[in-house]
Amino acid sequence: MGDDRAALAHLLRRTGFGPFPGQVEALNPGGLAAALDGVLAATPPPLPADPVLDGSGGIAPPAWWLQRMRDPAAGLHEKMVWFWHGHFTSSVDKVGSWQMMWNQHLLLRQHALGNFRTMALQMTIDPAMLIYLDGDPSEAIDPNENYSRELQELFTIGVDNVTEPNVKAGAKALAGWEVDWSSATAVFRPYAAISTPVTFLGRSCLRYDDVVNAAVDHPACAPFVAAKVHRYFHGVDLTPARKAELGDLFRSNNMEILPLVTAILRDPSFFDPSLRMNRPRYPVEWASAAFAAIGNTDVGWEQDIVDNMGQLPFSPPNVAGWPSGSKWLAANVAVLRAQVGNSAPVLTAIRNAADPVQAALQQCSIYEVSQHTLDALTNAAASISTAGRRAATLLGLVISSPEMALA
Amino acid sequence: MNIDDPVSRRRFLKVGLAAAGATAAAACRPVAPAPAPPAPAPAPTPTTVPPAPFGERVLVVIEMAGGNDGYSTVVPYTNGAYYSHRPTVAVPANQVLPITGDLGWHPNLARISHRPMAVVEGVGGVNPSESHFEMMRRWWSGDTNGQSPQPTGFFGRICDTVGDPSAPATGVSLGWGTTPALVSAQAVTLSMSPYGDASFPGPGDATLNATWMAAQRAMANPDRLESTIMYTARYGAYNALRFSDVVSSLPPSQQTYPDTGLGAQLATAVRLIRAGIGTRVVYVPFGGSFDTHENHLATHSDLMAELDGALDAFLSELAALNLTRKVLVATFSEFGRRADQNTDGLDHGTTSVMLLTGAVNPGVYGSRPSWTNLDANGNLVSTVDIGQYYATLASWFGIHPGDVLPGNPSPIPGILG
Repeated sequence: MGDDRAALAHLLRRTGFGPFPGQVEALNPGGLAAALDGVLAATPPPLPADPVLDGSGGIAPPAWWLQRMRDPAAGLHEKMVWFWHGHFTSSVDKVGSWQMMWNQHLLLRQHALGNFRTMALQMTIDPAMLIYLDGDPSEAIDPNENYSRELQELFTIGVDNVTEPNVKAGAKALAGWEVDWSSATAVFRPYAAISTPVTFLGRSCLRYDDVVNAAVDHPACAPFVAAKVHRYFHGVDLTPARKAELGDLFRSNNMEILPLVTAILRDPSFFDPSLRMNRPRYPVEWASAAFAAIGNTDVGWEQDIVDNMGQLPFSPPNVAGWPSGSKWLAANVAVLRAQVGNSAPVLTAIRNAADPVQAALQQCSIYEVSQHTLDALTNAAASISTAGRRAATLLGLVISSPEMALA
Repeated sequence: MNIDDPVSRRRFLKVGLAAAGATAAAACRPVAPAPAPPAPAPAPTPTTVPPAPFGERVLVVIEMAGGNDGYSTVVPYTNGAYYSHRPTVAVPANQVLPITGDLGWHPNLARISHRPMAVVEGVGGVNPSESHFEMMRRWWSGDTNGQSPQPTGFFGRICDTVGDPSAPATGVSLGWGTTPALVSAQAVTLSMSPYGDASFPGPGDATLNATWMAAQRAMANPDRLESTIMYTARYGAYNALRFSDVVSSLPPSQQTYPDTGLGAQLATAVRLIRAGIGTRVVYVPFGGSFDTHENHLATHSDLMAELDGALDAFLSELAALNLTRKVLVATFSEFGRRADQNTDGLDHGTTSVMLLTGAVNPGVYGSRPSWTNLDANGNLVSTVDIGQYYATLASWFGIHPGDVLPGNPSPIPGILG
């Protein structure tokens, strides 16, 4: 039996919000291929019967979502919900209604591994999105261009394919909607819409569905979205040839998302060792894994940490969603990592281990460690005489290590 | 709580967290400001302070989130239209502290009324939006017309332009979490607690702490022979540790500050400036919410009192330390309030009034918007663009405005010596 632990940890980092303690060891005997099959076949856990809303006496949506990420059964589906939250993004800061944000969240959950076209159609008249990108209200006589622009630039065909005439034409055909706040629903008002079609992306379009279908059918859409999903899982951009290949695959599967994700994860390049820890762990990824490793279930504190790191769920910074760059490795974030690490408890498994350094690394599912970090941990272990203090300190150091900060 | 207000959203989350019994760090947020001591006797008329050379200058930015009503901060106390738009939420003429024959300070700004203040009237956006979210985005990033997205924060670009790359932190925000305003391309910008604590977390026990910190330093030693991403990960922690070292030895305050959030922030600002560690921009998110849809007069009066007490103590300490010539203080708020009142509050508007102090030529700048010719939404029409206001701040450092702002706006003449 081979030791696939480093590759398994990579698989779980990229397809979920772990790994959680013991997960990799449990999968190791079965091997990598079986683990990947399991990831792709997993069924997401059921949703609560009632909406999760702020102010109702229960838990607020950001904390609820962080808790859900901690559920090992959430897996790939949850990871794609997070992806789409950064793609078809909206912020409660502008929308101003948890009811509408929750409804949009359900839409993301429903289609996370479903059909891209269906999601784009429903999202276009989603009340939260109408508010977030100013489709509420927009009248044909003087239409708001915000959604028309972002639908093309960020959601479907990419900035290189956007022209001003198409932005204006799309805005005309999208106009006519507004949000009814009492029912938190979108309402179409024919008198505020156009009555003769416009030409948008070379097609005659009258209503929002014509516009969305024209954008999704545009040749640039499938490769644009496929490349973004690829980058999410691989951490690097793909080659033009691979982009075209994945675009064709996405298109020939009628824009179904699961076959696209399957192709991206099943490609042997996904397990290339050079991809391991090649991008920063996003705060929600880091916090989910780190809080699990120290056994902390204080979701209020976890929410505070990701908020201060700059990644509070439901509050993305702008319409482009969450940035993916090295800002997640900056000084502020390092301080917060150490703050969580400093709260690490004494775990029996580390205290009693023959090699407490390795045990602390394993608790955090780190199976490949740099010499600098290993030396730092080994020296710390040697200078602490009490087994309990040694165990807690080592775990805290691993939680705040650079290895833990990478996905 | 008004959920569309980022300030109250954050505050709500903090409160929820404290109620959940979470960390001490979250529970130490300032509560209601303590009453300020009585106003001092009138001081002599403030005079112009000649500024220090460009390389020694520091900018202190006070962010008043929520939308500060500029025309309750200063009051056009002879303007009949002002009073007819706001029958019950205007500051009464007999209470204002006159600056000129037709403009006076809010009565709770008695202390700073004796300081060298530059009042900039009529500041607002082109293509204004009444969304907090959108207008904060514009102010933070310096997208002054709402149509020129910027990859970094406006104050982050200033840090990139004037910062010493070897400084532990060119820009420091005195608040929880990061601010988009200080996002930079190269310069190190970071945030520290308003209570001056930027110490790197570690165990309380001294011996254990030494071991912990030694290991943290070893892990935070960037090595070019490793991958770029590993180098970057170590470098972030390295910056955090270095700033922690510097901040642990900041000089103590020499001035008593009001026991308010802003008082604590501005006390720490002076300590950072005195330390001479290369910090050029100190960003101060004022903890109160200016989003006075309801009960405007009382809420806003409390905010003015907090501003007056803290800013006066700050200016007093700067003067005592002969640092006034190095410091420009600038306030901003995402927008002003509607000309007409609602029941007892003011809804979102566009145009507001910004304040500058420190090494400024005191006076009233910009021009007063009309209270009779409002825009289609019932808002004051701005007379000074955000870009001109920001160009003034850029010129404080000798920066060509076009290098950090879209459209190369011109500074407001006369404010800076």
